[in-house]
Amino acid sequence: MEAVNQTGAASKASAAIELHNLEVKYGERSAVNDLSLTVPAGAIFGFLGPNGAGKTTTIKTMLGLRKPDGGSVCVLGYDAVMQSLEVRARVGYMSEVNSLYDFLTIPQHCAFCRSVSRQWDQEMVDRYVSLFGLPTNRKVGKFSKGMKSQLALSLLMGSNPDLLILDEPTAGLDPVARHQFLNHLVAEIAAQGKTIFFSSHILSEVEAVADWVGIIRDGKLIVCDELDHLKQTQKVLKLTYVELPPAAEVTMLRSLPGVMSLEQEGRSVRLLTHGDVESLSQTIQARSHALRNVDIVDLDLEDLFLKYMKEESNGR
Amino acid sequence: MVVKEFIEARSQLQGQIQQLTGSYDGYVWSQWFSKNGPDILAILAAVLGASLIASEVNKGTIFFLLSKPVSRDRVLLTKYLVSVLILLGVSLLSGVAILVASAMVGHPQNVGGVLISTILLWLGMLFVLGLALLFSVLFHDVLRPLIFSLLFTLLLSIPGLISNATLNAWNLTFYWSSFAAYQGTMFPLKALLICLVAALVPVLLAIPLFRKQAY
Amino acid sequence: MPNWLDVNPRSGVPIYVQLVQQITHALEIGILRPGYQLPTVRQLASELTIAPNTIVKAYDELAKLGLIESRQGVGTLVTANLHGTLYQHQLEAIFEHLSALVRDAANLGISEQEVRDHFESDLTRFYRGQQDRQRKKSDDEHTEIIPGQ
Repeated sequence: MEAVNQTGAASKASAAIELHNLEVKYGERSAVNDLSLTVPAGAIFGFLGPNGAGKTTTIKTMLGLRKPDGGSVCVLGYDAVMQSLEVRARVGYMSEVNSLYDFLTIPQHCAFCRSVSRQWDQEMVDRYVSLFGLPTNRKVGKFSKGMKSQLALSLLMGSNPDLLILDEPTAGLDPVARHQFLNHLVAEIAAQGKTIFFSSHILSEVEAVADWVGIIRDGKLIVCDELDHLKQTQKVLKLTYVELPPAAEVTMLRSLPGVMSLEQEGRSVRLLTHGDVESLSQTIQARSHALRNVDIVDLDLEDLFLKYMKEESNGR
Repeated sequence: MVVKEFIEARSQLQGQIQQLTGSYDGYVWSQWFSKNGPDILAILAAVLGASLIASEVNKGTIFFLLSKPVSRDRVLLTKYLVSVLILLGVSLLSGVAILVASAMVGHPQNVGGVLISTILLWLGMLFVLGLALLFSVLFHDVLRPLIFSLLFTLLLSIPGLISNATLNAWNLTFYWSSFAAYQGTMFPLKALLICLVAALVPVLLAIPLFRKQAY
Repeated sequence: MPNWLDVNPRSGVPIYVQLVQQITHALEIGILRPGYQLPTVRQLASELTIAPNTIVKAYDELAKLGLIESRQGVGTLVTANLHGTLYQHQLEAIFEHLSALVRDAANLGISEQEVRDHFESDLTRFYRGQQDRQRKKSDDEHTEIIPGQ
């Protein structure tokens, strides 16, 4: 399909978040290492990685909660260090830990947020509060984890942010609440054209709602791409040889450009490829070892995720 | 232990003063402005100051607070000012209570003296508050700022245990209360200025520290 | 409303490609007719709970294929000349198919003459069959007319 070549064009639009060679250290230990990342405006960006990979640290630099030790952080066109107030006026942030005041009710939270925000749309907050069915007369300390997340999201919407930065917004939610929360996020908020950046350690929820994905591990960004583009460029090439291919040939295959990994089982070889799989397949077919069959298969994102995680730990 | 000895030593001192004056006025002054007042209010100031930032960090609400488009200086100063006003309120209330109670038992006190002593006491307490605030920025739990600020204040008053004029000049707690001012015979300008400067120092240190602190 | 759209984010097929394929199919089978107004990006993003940028991309792609067009203030409409465009695409697809067949045959080592012979006999068989069917059809019409005489 011709469409295949057009992917990635959307990424050239204005960026909501731009990180360049970000470096964050906790004492001597490097928490984020030379991380560069661009989140296009209007994207739903899933920031994926295991716990302790550096997701929260990266997010904190965006809000100016922590100053980077190197590199630059630009959010909505503002420098996150020098113009942190401008950033915070336009960004809705939800921290990883529940950060609401347990001794306040919803109207009290609204009053507080109103007093510290540049603009406030109470109707909008009320709309989300009733959408989630949250009780307005109870202290937030009595809320469940899911209700607190829903309230935090509702409060964010009061200041009409252009960008939402959510740190593990579904952590501690049961699968149904998690699904509901993400659906609301996309159907109600992303649909309005707001950019959403959320971190998660669960692949399936990123896959379900995000259109961009960044995978971080040990403070390094391993992948950062449009999901559709990833699906198009990462393919599995299954080769079946007529005779058992010699070890030299297998080594050669492994070294071909675009081959990310190789698994061999007798006469069948499975290649995880990146880029132009067609021309790679032609290159292989042109070699002297006869092939019985060549198949190009779509890659499961789960495979890819696990693959990246494994690759990184092998490399160390 | 140290605290107990310290308090005992101090009571003895107050006793001497009381003997010296032998008056009801002297009794009231030594009981509240020189002894219980500073002790009670110092603890209150330490509790208030210690929890200002540290409890927000401890409960995670600091992220909610600092993600709003408000500068850290404003956050810190607003919180500080609220505590300053609470301390002022409590100081004034106790001053009024002394005036009313004394009048009821037939020993009306000098209103100006009570007022100036109350202000002096309040200014003195702002040092403890500021110190607790400074530790509250430095530590991420409430207990350490509380203990450290009280211990530090206690250490500062050690020179006062020895009745020595030179040493007393370096005893901050010495300036918190002045019997002459209470009696209305002297305006404690020097004490007021010293208490004011002492109150400002920890706050001025806390502001840039809070600005740089990573959460 | 778009219950004929069924997007699966877990599939290896890019979501916008799924959208393009399914909307094209809906156009082909007549669910969407010329002049029909497609849902806005916002509506569709909200209903399918997928990223708005993905829908923009799919719509862009369909517009590039000449199947839909966006008009200022009106929205996104199925192009008036839908059938012409679809026919053009089908034509291209058929001939591409034919080329692929020829290539596959050559890869299998079938000679040019053999392919040509098969192709021609297929053509002959198809068109003769069609003529037969037409003749039979007109014969049937005749037999129907007879009782009425």
